[in-house]
Amino acid sequence: MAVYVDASLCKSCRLCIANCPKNVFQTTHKVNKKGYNYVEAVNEKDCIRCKLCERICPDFALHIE
Amino acid sequence: MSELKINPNRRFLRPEKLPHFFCSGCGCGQVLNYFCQALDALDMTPEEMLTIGGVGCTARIPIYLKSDTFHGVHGRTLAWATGVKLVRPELPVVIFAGDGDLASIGGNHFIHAARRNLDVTVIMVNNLNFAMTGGQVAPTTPEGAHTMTTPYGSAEPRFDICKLAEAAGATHVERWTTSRPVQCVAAIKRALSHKGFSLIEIVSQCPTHFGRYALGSGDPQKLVQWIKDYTYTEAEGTKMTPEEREGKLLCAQFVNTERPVYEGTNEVL
Repeated sequence: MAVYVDASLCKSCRLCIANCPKNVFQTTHKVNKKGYNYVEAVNEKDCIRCKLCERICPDFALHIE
Repeated sequence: MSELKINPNRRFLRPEKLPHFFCSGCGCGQVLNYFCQALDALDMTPEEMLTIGGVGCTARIPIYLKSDTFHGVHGRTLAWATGVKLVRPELPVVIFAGDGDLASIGGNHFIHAARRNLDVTVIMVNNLNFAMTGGQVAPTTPEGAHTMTTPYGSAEPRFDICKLAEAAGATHVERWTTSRPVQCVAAIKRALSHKGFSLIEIVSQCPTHFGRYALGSGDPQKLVQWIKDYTYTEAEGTKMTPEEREGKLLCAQFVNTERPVYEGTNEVL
């Protein structure tokens, strides 16, 4: 099981952060090619694989396996 | 660090077009995601269908799909679809249109395609304003909303496009919101397997224009919450008083019937 974030596609809309029931995601100070502070899965061990983030991500940046 | 695995639904998208053009937190990206989920669930591929977009933010959605695509004149998506369906009746046609495309400039094409029961799927992303041109007032803007062209609040009543489609004779009409992903995917699945004119209206957030002008916030999650409060489902509606339902939109399946579809005539004049 793993949470994959494609940093090159993330636009930092934070919908995943707001909707995740287990607070897995957090924005970072790292900046991607387009200038967004992309999110990272910081509490990956808390993930319950509800896949809500993957369903609602507007940018296809997330994948849960 | 393990190797990055990408979302499998990205196999439906053109890799060279990503990241897409939509603003951060835009509902159009979510609708594209829901559409890919529906394709995945139905074992369909975009290669076997034609997608059409007019002008507007929503009309950019077909550009990212690996399908045959028309993209051009504002509001004429259904006029093209009629022509395509008469020549290639077996080809599935999906139209992505915004509220500006369908409700205002293409309104006439829309009612007549619904009247003829043209066998197409229309996915209308209703972001409540004209987003691409800078957030002007649209026919679907709620009454009293502040937009770029109505700085003192819109004085016009709002257009209910689902009621219009129902009255014009569409055989499958549903309304959902981007805040209800499971219902959206299920509705798109029903629409793709429906024979006849099907309209899925998806009320969506526009953080860049409608959010900033009308709601005073560009935070996508605040707008999603506002959309949740702006709409109600049938189950929620039974617990609300008529005063509470006033001015809000019902999210439901309004019509699902069968009727002969429009295929033109084979007689040569």
